[in-house]
Amino acid sequence: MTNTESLSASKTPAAVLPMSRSPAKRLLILLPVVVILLGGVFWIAYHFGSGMRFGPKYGMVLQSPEPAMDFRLPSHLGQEIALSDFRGEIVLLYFGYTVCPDVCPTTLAEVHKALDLLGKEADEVNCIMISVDPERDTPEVLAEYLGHFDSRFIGLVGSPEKTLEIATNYGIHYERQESDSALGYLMDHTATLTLIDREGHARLVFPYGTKAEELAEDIRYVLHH
Amino acid sequence: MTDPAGPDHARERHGQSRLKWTNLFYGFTLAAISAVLAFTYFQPITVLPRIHLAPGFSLTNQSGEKRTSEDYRGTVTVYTFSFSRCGESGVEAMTRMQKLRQRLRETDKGKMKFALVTLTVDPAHDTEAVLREFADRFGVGTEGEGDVRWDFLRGDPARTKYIIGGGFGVYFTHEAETDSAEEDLKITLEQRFVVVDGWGIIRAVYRGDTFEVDRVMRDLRWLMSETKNSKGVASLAYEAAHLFRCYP
Repeated sequence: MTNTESLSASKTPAAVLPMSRSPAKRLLILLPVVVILLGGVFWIAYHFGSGMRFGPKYGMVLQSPEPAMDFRLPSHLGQEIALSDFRGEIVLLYFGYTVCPDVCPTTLAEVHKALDLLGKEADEVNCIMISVDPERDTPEVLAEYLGHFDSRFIGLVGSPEKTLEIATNYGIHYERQESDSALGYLMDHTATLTLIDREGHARLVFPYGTKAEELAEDIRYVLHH
Repeated sequence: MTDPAGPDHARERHGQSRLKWTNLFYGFTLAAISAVLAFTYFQPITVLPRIHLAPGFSLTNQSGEKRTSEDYRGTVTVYTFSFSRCGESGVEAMTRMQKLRQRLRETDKGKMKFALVTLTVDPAHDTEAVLREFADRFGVGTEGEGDVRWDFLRGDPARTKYIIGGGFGVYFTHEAETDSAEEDLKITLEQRFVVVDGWGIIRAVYRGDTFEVDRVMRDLRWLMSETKNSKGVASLAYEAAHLFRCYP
């Protein structure tokens, strides 16, 4: 380039030359863009990406450092079953009874629907119901009752003392209520569902009324995290 | 149509555009990492961990009324364990509960409900009448419930063992009392105070020497804040606090 040409280049109007920005100005433009992008990704992940969530959405998350209390009780299948037999799989633990007029059938029906929604993933999920009415709920009665909901469900029934010990530990209150109904006495009981993860930790508690779709979504999260 | 400024200029503009997107990507990643670290370090939101399910129970209080664990749903409850014939350390623990109750009464609790519960580890001796008298020593019963109820509960010994020992994990032993009134009672009890939230989840456990009223009030304020603010999008921030700070 000759001196004349270089002089010409230096006199090129500023409008033609690319605008230069100071680092501070660049940061001022970049920062809100980054924040908005972060917020957008977060919102999308929360609403559409169950694999990218912070955690389950519908159950209350527990952070216990200790595994849930293990127990071994006679099952409706004829042999004793322990909670620890299911290590490596998910357990949904419920305390109910067969003469329950409404709460138990509703809950078990929702769990059945949830397992159907999970499809093949339900192979790693076990629903266990421990009877709070050992006086009436024999293994045979449990077998027939649970068979109406889902052949995969497991019914356990123990002695009154053992049932009290286990239920107390899982935050379950139950109490006999005398009634004039044809069903005989009823059992008032806490109707929460406890999810125990693969390592045996009580991980989630679902209140009564949790829908099948909500159960399935949270179970799927725990299966994959 | 070619770039009137020439192919070099086009390449330079393309390069600048790629540089801009690269800057954006690195800035985004750095911002995300910084946000997580800042959240963990500065703790703009503090939460109490969700430790364990509180035990279920059905007991009676000092007035002979039935109280079950379901009655405390929706209420933040502070539990302690004692007995009417407790010594000096037992009285000291109960006095601290009394101070906590007073502080709670003076605090703006919004819509949140609070209750105190003392479970007797000596139900054979602590009948309802004895519990009434015991409660009266700490100002309970004479002025009515007020807005921070304090129940003194008893049940049969087997249930008591499951609830206190198995459920709350509090160690106590009870040997048959001697005939002599001067003899020390053979009840060994580890002093514990437990905070249970409205969901029935244990959120804090204090040993006897760590139960300071100021500290407990601070923790209860965190719980109040979480209960009040953890709604909608804000709930994500609270779950993030649980995720990053509470997992064992």
